[in-house]
Amino acid sequence: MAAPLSKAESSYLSTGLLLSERADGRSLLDYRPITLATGVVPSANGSARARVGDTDVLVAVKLDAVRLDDVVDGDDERQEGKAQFVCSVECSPSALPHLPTDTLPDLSSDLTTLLSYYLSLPSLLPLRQLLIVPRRRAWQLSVDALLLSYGGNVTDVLFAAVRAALWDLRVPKTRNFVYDTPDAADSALGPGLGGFRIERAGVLDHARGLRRPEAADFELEDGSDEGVPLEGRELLPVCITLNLLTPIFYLDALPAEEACTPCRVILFVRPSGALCGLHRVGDSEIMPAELKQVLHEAVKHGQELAKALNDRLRDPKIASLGSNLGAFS
Amino acid sequence: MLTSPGEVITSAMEFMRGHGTFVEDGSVVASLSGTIERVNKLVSVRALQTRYHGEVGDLVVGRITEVQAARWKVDVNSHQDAILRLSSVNLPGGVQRRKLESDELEMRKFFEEGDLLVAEVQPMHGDGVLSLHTRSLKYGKLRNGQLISVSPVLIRRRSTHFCTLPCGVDLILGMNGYIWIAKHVAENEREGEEGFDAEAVYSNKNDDIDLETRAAISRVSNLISIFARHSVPLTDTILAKAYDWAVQQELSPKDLLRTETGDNMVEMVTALA
Amino acid sequence: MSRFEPLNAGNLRSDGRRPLELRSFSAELTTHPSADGSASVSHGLTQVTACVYGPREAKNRAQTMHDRALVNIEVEVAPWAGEVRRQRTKGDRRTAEFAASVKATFEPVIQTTLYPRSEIDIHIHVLQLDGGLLQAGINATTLALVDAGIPMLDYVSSLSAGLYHTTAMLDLTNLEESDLPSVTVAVLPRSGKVTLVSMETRLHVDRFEEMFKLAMEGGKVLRGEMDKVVRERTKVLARQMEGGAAQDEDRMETDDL
Repeated sequence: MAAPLSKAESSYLSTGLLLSERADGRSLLDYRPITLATGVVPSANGSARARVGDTDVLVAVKLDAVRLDDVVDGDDERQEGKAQFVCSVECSPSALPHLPTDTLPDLSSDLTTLLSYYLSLPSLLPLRQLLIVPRRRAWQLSVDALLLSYGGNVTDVLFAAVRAALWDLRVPKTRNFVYDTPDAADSALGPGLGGFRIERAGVLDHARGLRRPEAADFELEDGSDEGVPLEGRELLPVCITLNLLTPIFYLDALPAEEACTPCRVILFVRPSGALCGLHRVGDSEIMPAELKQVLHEAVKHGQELAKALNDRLRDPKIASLGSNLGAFS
Repeated sequence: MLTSPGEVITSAMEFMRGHGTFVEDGSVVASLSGTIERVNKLVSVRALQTRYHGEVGDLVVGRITEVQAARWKVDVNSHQDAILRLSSVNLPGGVQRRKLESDELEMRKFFEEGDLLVAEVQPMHGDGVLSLHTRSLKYGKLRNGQLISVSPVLIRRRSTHFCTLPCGVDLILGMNGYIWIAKHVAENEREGEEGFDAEAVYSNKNDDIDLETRAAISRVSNLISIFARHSVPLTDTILAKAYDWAVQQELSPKDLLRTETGDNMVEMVTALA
Repeated sequence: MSRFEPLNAGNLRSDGRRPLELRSFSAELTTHPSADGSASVSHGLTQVTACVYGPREAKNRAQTMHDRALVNIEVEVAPWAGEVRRQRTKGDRRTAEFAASVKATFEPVIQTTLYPRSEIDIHIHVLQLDGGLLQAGINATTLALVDAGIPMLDYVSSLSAGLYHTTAMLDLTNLEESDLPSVTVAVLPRSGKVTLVSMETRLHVDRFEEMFKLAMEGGKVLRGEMDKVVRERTKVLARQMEGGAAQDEDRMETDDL
């Protein structure tokens, strides 16, 4: 991703890394200061901006109530058990000005795939909370990210912003109701009340072959502008990228460091320490023994990162910093 | 005095227009935002942010972007890449220039894409493209250190742009804003014995660099970043002062990454200057 | 759905403004320090940033011009910017037109002849949209170019104007743009020269002149606002470059010599 280095520069940096002396004096496992702000896109249901060094990522999450029949294949039971989402990561040309513009779509698409992978992780998105009317209506999340500028370690910053945006997300409270049609012959539903609105949690037994009443629907609860936070937001996994330079690994790479360390492993770690995802980047191969050695330590750092981010997000001072998207501090 | 694009500065009858201005309807009008400068009858505007405008005699640090027949193209943070002609570099005695002229592969033995070098701007061949030469032994390929890039406006013209800081670090302040920070190499070591050791001059191999020197290089790099963020012009004097201050405060290189520490440093050091 | 009322009985617009009142305007320079110049601009809820790179060596030498710099515009609209989530598609007609309009606006204003064979790249990000896309894009670009130290003949100041019956209105929101005939004007305030007139709707020629004049006046006011932000920033920079010495007295800003 970075501009080319000379052989001398590359060698200076790698030798330094192997001696645990980095270009800016950090230790191998030090992160640069991370700045987070939430509520930066007022028109979204949740949003956040994360900055580390010159890397700057903006994420907005919106909720749309969709008809499940429109988005789910009728008989695909697997899909029914999944939360609905669409996502994208765009790398703006100003993020990587030295790269020709035609390589940007590749980078954007790689990151979009990774984001999609993250959002599909089991139990990441709370299906139960996102379902409005079971089998009928659900909240579909759109998670869209924009890489505004690049200063190394895009993936970790991207997911820090995604987590923060999901933390900021408020799911509107809804109330379900069921319309009974005049000629409902369903005895199981009780006497037809013809055209009246009945409030009922509308789960109907498909398997028993009963006919659904028409237009099961929902409405937003009055007076609740806030909505509720996403369930399980403290448990959202963090992303921690390991830059591998045998026999060491290091975190939070600068652009020049990334240029001389093409081999990377991306880990998704829950605050509990559970490793829930792993993704390899780069062309070189990794020996399992190498990886095993670093995983334990890496996961520990992932946990620390998760705790630090959660603490930061809980601090009421950073919530809703407003929509000033100018100089960010 | 400040001005901005479109502002009338003065009458064109009395003054001549310089850089950053143009003439319209008998008036000298600013085309940039910045400070108005008047030297005798010449009025110009100096912008507070700009890419590098080369001048003959400038010392620059550049990066090779392309190898062409008989010349290299060099990124010097200007509006066009500069040219380094084969005839402008030192070549070992036995090497035949004619053989190299048409052989780009051979040329890569000296400079290839990505290489960093220090050079001087020589008279250009018109059309505004800068021409460089590395004919002095002070110039040539750079190794044993790292690069940091700042805005060219922060580098003031001095008698020399090669400095050695008391902490044992060599500094090359390119007029174009590219700064090279490296392990100190003594003068006599650089000159070499008689004859021209091409292998040494064009080598990509670094010397052994001890941890203390590496830490010093990181410290200097971080200090430069802080000054650049605060738009403080860079000189070896102010960097030496800042370095002393950092050592006195017992700050490790990474302590300098914190914003408050940086702000503090600038306040203290510029007050001393 | 209630019918949108551009102007109510009290002659106020749907957001409470008077017809010629501009939305709250704010701007900031150097929002992206890694670019040569950058700026962020907001008109009410519309928020746009612009980053400038150059003049610099062209990436594609075949497209350069031997006697001047090439101006390239790239536009990025965030998926969440509008009412409906929309993913940017390359070659989207509206974005392409927008980019072409911005390019046509600035090409005669930037002194491109000073930088032959080089390239100036301008990247515009639309972060939030509530009408006035072209207006905000042009104003953000002006400020980013000033921030980059690229010489121009003047600020380019842009404003949209619309017509409801016989009342002209300035700085339209999305609702107003969808409902009323409108025009976007870009002007060089000092000389009054116009560098862009963009219309997508039909308007009677008699009405046009009035709207146009009002948009120009508004453009001059806007230039004043933009210049305030620029001067403030220049003052701060100049002070810092003095070596940070305590020079707190304001520098003179008169233009008479």
